[in-house]
Amino acid sequence: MKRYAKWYALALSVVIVIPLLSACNANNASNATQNAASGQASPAAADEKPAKKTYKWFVGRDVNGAPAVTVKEIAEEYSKTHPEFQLVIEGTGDRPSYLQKLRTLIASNEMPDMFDTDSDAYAAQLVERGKLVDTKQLLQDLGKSNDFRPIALQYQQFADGSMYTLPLEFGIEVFWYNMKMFKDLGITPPTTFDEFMKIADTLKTHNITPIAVDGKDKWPVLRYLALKPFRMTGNDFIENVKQGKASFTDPAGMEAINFVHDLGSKGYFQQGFASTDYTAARDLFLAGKTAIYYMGSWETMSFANDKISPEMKDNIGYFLMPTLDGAKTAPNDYFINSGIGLAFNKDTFDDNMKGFVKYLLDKYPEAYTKKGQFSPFKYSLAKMDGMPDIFYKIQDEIAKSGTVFAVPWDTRLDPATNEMLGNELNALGMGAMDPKDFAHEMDEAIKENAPKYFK
Amino acid sequence: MEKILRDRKAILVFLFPALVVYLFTVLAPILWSMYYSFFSWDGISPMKYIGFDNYVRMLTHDKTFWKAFENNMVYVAIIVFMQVCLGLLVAMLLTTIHKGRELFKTLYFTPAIITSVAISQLFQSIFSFEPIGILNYVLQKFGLEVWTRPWLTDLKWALTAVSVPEGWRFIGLYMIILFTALISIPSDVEEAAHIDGASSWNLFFHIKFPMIKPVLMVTIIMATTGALKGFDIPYLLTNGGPGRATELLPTYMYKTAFSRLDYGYGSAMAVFIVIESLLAVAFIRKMMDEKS
Repeated sequence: MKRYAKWYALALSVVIVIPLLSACNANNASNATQNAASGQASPAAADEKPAKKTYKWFVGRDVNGAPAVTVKEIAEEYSKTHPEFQLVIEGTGDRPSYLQKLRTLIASNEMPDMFDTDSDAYAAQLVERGKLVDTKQLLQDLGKSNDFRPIALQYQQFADGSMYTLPLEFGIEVFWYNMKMFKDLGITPPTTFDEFMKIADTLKTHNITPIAVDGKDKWPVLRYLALKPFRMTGNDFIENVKQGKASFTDPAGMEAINFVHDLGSKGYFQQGFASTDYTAARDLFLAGKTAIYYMGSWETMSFANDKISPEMKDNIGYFLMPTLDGAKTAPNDYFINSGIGLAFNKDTFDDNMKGFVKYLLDKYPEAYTKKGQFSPFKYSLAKMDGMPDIFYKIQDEIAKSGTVFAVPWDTRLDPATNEMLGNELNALGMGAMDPKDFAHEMDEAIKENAPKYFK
Repeated sequence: MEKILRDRKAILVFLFPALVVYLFTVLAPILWSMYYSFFSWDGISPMKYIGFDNYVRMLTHDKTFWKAFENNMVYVAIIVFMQVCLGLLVAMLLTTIHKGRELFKTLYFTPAIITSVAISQLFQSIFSFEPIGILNYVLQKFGLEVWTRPWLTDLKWALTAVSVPEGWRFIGLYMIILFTALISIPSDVEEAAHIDGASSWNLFFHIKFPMIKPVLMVTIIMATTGALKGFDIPYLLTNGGPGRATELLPTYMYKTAFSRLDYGYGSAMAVFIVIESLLAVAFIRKMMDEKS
């Protein structure tokens, strides 16, 4: 009995830790099956038609969102006339888990044919290893370079001006606010950060949660950390600090850290914000439970009258990123971006795929804009009729926007520091960390991780 | 047939395939992780041999690692308490009833067959603060409003909140195991004790407990090693947050390897978890042996 128990216990303990250790292998296995599915069609079929080839797009955005749906529709249309081309779309939950899965696929040599990535330090590594298609060259070959808004392309570029992704989205980021709440308390939208904090305080004292934020995806909170440095230094602070050339204890860094610390510890973010996800945060605002919600113009249609509750009708306004004394950037410079980019695997990029990309770029601007979206193309939006008022307001705002745009933390930092910053920032916002300690910890992280990525 | 089974060689032949499977699925990944743990590798660049650097970094100056280790110990304590103690309690209660026993057994066992994702969703809504979840709602109704809080993002309570679902989930499983052990105690032993005037407390401590001890030990080992590899529910509920409040070693290992792209360092942690589990088993066995 005793001997059995010993072996049983040992075997059991070992068996139990296996799933952890084999996580990497398990991923390999699942990729193998996916690859089998995306391989060539059976030889029998090849006799009659040109070989049907399946390409996979691993999507880092909402699979049911406008960009993914538009591409999918265009791909289906294309397959009708080009039966040799077939696009399958695969998505996954939130952004952090998408990135984990993508990077595991790539580490095990299973890079998807198409996938979404920011032009971050990780993508730069892929470029260095010659794994991505040069999209700047691709656009030139296809004669499409001038079809895009310049900022849409600039956002996709690396610091040296090279480009390996294509934009599918375009948007400005604004603070949406509940006009009635503001009016009732006699508040006008803020233009400076001091006013912003005062307003948040007024709302809080009237028992209104000032701001709804999605803490689960990390990037929305990271935006708050980027606001003040952008006003104080333009993009210099982020670009320098990511390589350890500046410190988080510099004025721009401390201002940023204290800002998030204040917002969180004074209860200006909704309680439990760290576990609120994207839609839950938006719904808090739309249900009239918070007064302010920072988000990109890609959400504009969610605020249109036919989508929202009667109480919220004609009740949603927006204001731009506040500014401060001695700001280096103009009030109409703020976060403008063309979203996560679309990258192509160099090894599997063939003429078949190139044909599709050309077709996609021809059809996308119209199809996408018709879904009530702002496109990265210079597509004439004036033709669009019957859109809600708020759409036109944002459209005008985009026309007035400046030429300098803020870059986000998560597209600039190395992956290790980024992972840490996202986690610790939520802790800072919850008052679990002292701003000074936070700054030192981040400096340490950069010192350790950055040299591997920025040489 | 009888003859074949008496032949030791034949038995070895039959055991061989299982051994091969075991070596491939169990030993190979462990050795593989050990191999990786001596490298610095981000998944794209060539691997770089760095000797024991990953281990030195892990054991000497990674605060998060030790925080995760500490959290993991709390997690183990809560889970072992829930699964073994509550499982035993329920099993003992079950032995006292006869009518409807099967129904209770089935009901209590149900959570064990539900997937982690569903359990996480369930507890996400139970702990929810906005919109208000069942737990906070009940607290509110009982006038305990001061106790309502966003459980999963409260720095003090988040770790407990992510431990409870995992503990609750397998109470039924351990209940079944312990129940089987309890009813296998010969009834004449119990009767004899009764006649000798043993109180039910004495009956449990001096008669039942020693008799189910081997099974109890197995359940404690199972619960402990199960909790040491705790991953799915904490990962799904809080992803280690807020900050590092619910980070466990396995979640930290996973993130290190797959988010921070430090496969070598992640592997070093995996090796640590294996050693830690083996030590835990040895420790529990020693404790239980000493008591007898």
